[in-house]
Amino acid sequence: MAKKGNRSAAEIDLTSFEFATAAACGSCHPGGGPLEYDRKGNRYDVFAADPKNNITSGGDNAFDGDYFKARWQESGVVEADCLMCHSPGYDMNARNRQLSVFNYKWAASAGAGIAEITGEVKKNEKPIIKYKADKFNAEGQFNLPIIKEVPTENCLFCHAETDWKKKGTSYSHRFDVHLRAGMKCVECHPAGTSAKDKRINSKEEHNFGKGDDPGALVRDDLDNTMITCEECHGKGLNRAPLMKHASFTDGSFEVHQEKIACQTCHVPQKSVKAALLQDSTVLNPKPRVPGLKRIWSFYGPDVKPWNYYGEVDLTKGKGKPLFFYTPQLRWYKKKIYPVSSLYSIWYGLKANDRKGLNQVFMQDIWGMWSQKDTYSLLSKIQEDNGDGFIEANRPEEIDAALKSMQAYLTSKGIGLKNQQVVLVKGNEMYLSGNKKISLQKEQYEYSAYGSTFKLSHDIAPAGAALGATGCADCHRKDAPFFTKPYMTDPFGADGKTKWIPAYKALNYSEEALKEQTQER
Amino acid sequence: MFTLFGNVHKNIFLTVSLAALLSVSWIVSAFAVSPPKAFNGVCPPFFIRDESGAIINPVSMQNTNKPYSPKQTCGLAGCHNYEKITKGYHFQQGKDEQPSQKLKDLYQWILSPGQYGGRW
Repeated sequence: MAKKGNRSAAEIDLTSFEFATAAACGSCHPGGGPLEYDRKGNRYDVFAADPKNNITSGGDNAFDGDYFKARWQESGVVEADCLMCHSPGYDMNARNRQLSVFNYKWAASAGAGIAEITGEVKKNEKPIIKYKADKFNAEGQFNLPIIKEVPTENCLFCHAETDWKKKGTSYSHRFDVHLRAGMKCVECHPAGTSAKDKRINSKEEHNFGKGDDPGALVRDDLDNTMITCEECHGKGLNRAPLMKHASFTDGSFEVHQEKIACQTCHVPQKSVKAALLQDSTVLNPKPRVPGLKRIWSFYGPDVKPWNYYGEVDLTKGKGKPLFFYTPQLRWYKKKIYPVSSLYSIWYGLKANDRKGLNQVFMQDIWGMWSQKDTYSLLSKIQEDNGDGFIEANRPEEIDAALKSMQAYLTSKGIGLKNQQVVLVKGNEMYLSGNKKISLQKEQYEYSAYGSTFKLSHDIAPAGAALGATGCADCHRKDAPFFTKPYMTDPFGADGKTKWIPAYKALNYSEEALKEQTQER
Repeated sequence: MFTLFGNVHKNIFLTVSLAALLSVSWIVSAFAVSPPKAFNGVCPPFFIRDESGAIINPVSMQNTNKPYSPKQTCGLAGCHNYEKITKGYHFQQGKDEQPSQKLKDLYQWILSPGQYGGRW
């Protein structure tokens, strides 16, 4: 996201106006907040229309990140769209279509299904709205269903796709016992007066109960406001079946509960891919990948290329392809959880006088690869492991990537006086093909620059959980809990993937492993 | 006498009718501008409104060239507290938060811990 104040266009990547488009973030944003007000609290369209503010539609507007090339005067803003959540049958595709053509203030009418809109602000047309009288009663009042407790289908407008790539969540009745029971998301994630936690319990409070996810950092002050497994299955809340854990005949359930989260046993298997690796240093050649997103090459849990965006486009959200695998496990706050942890490879910018890293803009990575004849060193980056994707894994390839990116940015006038391009691969920052520095990270992540998400959905019932058939589900020599191979490097200098057994990722010593895998 | 009685009766009828009509008008207009708050969780029938708060009526074809405004419709005075509702993190996406120093030290580009100006 572009800062509010910028000195030139070269400093601007995503603007607030672009954030609102369906291609960027608007497609999963319910409106209001940054889609309605700028960073100084002004409503975008009102501020832009006021002559004293000197805002020109589509102009540079002093490189203000909220008004650069923006057309708020024509598009209007995207107000919070209540019906997106509260109306069954809401048409998210129709709503997002309006966002994609900059018809921001018409989007709610389209999504509600109460009007057809023709004309596109993006094409310099004035949108024309035609209401559907049959959606209103005889007096002309709104006449479509409104439900206070958000239907699950409406939550999944946004969460189905994002949780596919990040977590491999199917949200299907086959794989999730709560959905199968007909429960709604808001029963575990309540808000307002439905919530028990005082932090979110007040009339019309719209902060939903949330867990504690290392990969999601918004409003961490509201972590653990959701209904927990124990609240329902320990107390029988709303007639939930009480947990028995009958297979723990030796009375060891409490010992397990201290160190192992409920999800670990109750998410014993995943059924849909999540991205294990995201490489944004090369171009993704596969079909149906939209525009700039071609700079992201995803790999699935098997470390094989995965055309995620292609599958999204092909399936149109009607069904995620099945792929069964055992999730990785990690320690997080003294408990073991199943996780989806992302290994990322990306171009960073290391400044001499600042901590951390900055990142090269997507548009610049795309720009470089679009002119790969000009940056001929890029041809050194080859496909080394037979998977159909090129990768910068050998020192000469990493050097080629770094030099090309450096040359491109220099040619664009982007100042590199006090900073240099680096290639960050997992937890290693390459300053050149042969010089790398290890970065600090948490135990549960591949790097601080690749998110780790806990897996708390697609919950298996008791009969399918780990331990259901006895201790040997985990406590045996070849149990996946301890021996499943976890990737540590997708492609080393020789192009081959490196792995370690799970027990090493979980910091079990050889002695501890021996003890834990004795049959019980 | 019959005529006098008829006139009095007619006047009383007119007075009562006028009073009733005014009462109904008052109730309708009061409802349209500032409905009572206690609806026990059930929205009463409502008109959609445009960004200026004016009613859009697709049946009587009133003001139908304007898109509807959720803020002016649902957030009508006395109905729902739009300002409070949109403080929720789904709406703010981190815009109303500052990233911690730890996050700033890692990600030089970060503006918020959420999706708006966040890590990715």
